[in-house]
Amino acid sequence: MEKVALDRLTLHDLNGNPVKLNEYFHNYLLLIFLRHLA
Amino acid sequence: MRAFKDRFEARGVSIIVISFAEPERLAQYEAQHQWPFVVLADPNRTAYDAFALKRLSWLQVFSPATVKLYWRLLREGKKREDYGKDDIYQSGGDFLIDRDGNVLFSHRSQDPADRPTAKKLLEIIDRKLS
Repeated sequence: MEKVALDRLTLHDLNGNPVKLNEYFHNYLLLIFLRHLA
Repeated sequence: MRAFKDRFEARGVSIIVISFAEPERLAQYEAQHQWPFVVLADPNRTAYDAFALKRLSWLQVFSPATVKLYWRLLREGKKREDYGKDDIYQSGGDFLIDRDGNVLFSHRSQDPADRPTAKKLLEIIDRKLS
């Protein structure tokens, strides 16, 4: 099974603040990666 | 997708939408679309890289499925909105993960039209989590 080191990933909220995915868990996360904005 | 949000949450699944756009540009997009999900920016594409989301080839970006999709959207009256210059070759994808980072389901788009529907995702989640 694939595994990703979530604690190593830093993303940004819409204000530009760094956030970790761990902050958003219920039990599971469905991550939807977009292509370009259009 | 909006209509399905409660059905995902009932299964303990939070939805996070990730874009490689800068937060300021993404905020403009979000203000326009008002998605009911958490939307995060990954301008350095560290998450895109971690989930092995590659750049598509020209043939994949302009595949018959893509042309068919955009033709349908045009017929439905959808207009292309301009959020600035963007990388049209970056692929997208959908991943179900648990708290330990285990990827329970992955779908890496092979062209812009290649995305699972919300209904399909719910079916997969029910299968994986049963």
